[in-house]
Amino acid sequence: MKAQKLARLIGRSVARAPRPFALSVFGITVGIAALSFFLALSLGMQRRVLSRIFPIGRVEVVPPRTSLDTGALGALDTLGSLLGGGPQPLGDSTISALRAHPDVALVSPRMKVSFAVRGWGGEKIVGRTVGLELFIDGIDPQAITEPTSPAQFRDYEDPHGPFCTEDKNCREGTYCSWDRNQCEPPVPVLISPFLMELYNGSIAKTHGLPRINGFLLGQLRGTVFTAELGKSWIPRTTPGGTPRQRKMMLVGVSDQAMPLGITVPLPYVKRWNALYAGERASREFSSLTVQIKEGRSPTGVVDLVRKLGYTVEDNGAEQAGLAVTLITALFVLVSLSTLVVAAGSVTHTFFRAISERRHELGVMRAVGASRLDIFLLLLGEAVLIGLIGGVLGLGIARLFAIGIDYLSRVALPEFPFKPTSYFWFSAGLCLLSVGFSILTCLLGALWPARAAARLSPAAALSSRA
Amino acid sequence: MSQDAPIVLAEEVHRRFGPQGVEGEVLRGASLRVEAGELVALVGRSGSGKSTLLHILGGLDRDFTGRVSLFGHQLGPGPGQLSDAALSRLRNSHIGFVFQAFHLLDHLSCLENVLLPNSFADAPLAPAAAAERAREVLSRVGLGGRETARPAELSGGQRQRVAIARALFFRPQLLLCDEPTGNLDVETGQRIIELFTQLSSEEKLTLILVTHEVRVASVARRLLRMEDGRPVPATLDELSRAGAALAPAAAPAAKPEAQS
Repeated sequence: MKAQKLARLIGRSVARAPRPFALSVFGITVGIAALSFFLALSLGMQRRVLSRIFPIGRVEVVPPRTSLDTGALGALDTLGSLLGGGPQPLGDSTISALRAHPDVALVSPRMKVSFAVRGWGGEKIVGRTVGLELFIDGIDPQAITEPTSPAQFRDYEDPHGPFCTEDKNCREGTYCSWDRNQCEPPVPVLISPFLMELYNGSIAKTHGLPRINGFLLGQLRGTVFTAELGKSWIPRTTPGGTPRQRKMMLVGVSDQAMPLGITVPLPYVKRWNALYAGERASREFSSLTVQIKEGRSPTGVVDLVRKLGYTVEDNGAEQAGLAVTLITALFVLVSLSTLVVAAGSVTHTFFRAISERRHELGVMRAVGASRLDIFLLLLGEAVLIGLIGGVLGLGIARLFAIGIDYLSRVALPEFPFKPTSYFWFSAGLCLLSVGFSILTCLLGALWPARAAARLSPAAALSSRA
Repeated sequence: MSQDAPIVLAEEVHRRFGPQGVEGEVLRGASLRVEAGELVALVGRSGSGKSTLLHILGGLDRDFTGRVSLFGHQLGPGPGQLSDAALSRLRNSHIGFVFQAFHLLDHLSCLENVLLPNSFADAPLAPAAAAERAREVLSRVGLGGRETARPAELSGGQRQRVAIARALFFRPQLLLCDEPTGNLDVETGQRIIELFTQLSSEEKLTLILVTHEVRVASVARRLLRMEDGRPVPATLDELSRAGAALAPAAAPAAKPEAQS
């Protein structure tokens, strides 16, 4: 039987008895709506919330802990290190070893500033000067992949800059560093989205300050503040060298930036550490950020890291992801049981329909329909039920999602990482939902369709003799 | 199929309904040979097995023992029997069925009912050609202009004519009719019988007519009577004498054919 004729026969069958058809569609719609709703919620939570808090596809390598709080293994590591047999500090050789792994896309070293730094500024944001203890780390400018003014995030320090005694001796965009008497541009600074969310969700709210949105961020880009190296707001902190002031300028937001602090280009930190904390501090990295190639699993890299004697920093992403996955699995199981019931309902409906349509099937057989034709006709009807149920279910799930997102916007207070939508209806999810709906109906209709195909035409015709 | 091969050949056919050992063998060694162009009437009491034999000859019932061949093809059981798909194709293109209960699909119009065989054909006619052929056969049975009517809007005779038109759609060589006038009043039944004789001579159809009415059987050139689960030759006189015994329990007739 040609596909076009089969489609026409299916259409006629459905039009002839729309009620049982509608009942089956209803059952499947409910199941698919529940399934796609929870899957979209899970995907949305992972993509729109978790991935913002815990960047995926990235491994943070840190030196092994040397305190005894890691237990016997930590103690052995410590002993090994003391005897010279433990892992080397994170340095260039570690970077080379990790870069050689086939799943690694990029290895970028991070170095924390190993001495006290204090800063002040913020008149543009809060209307008055605010002083803060600054936590700074440095990263390789090449590791920044986002289009957040990457050209500005680089090392500007030039030992042969023009001589000056005050700022007005310098051209626009540069200032006069009083300790070196030379003009230089401010140190470029990146902040993390985490810091922004924290500010928006907590500080801005509790202190009545404006939230930083896309527009305000644009305005803040270029904000200059002052950092004093080797000096702290805490009086008892002993500076490691002569304090020096540096102007710093916010150039953008990057998820590579330090979550609770500011990030500057690595060469600055190397020089500052050498100056204030000694040569060794300028050679040892505090961590290495390993970006895994897209579509690859980080497992192999994690194994290599452990083999090299280092530790993968546990930032809670694994546990959070696992929690979301487990909760999703639970809801998906509930949805799947709804679908099993729906498939049972399809089977029941088809058996009833076949019993009511015995005569019709007998007539079709008498005029030349083969068993396969009857089988395909009924499975075609099941596909139609699955298709309509899948699309409707998906639509209902989408409507619910829109409703929940709307309620979240209007009824829930602001909190860090509050997403504009908790759901992600990806193309894959939509296809999967409709495909699953069709598959469920096909499975439900398989047994009745087989029974109908095996019906003796003579017996079927006798049912209305 | 060889030129001399009979259209229908049944040898020692047995058919039992119900479990083994219990009374219920309807056909007990039925044999029959029908040549091309014959008009055969098979007469018998209700329950004598004549409809069962007709279903077996048309390949609608394959649960039998013995040998049945149709157009030279073995229906089974046994090796070399036609597959379900091949038998379906044969039914579609070579055989037409007309039943007592008309067996039209109520949700389809007359034209769509007549077009139904085209849906399952191996080489279906193009939509326009199929519609043209359906109109032609409807007109041939006297129902030109009623293409869009639903079966429920037609009289019993008209419904039977639609069923005949459907059976004729692919110009079959064999027409199997099971009590075609059983649900019709005498006058309408007579018209249907006239139509059959006309078709038999004009379309060179081989026609097997199952009936319990001697009047209907009288148009056949060869008469058979079901006796003890087997068809045996009969004469019109014999059948006339047994007429009352052949009549089934009274059944309500369909409304008389509308005068159109």
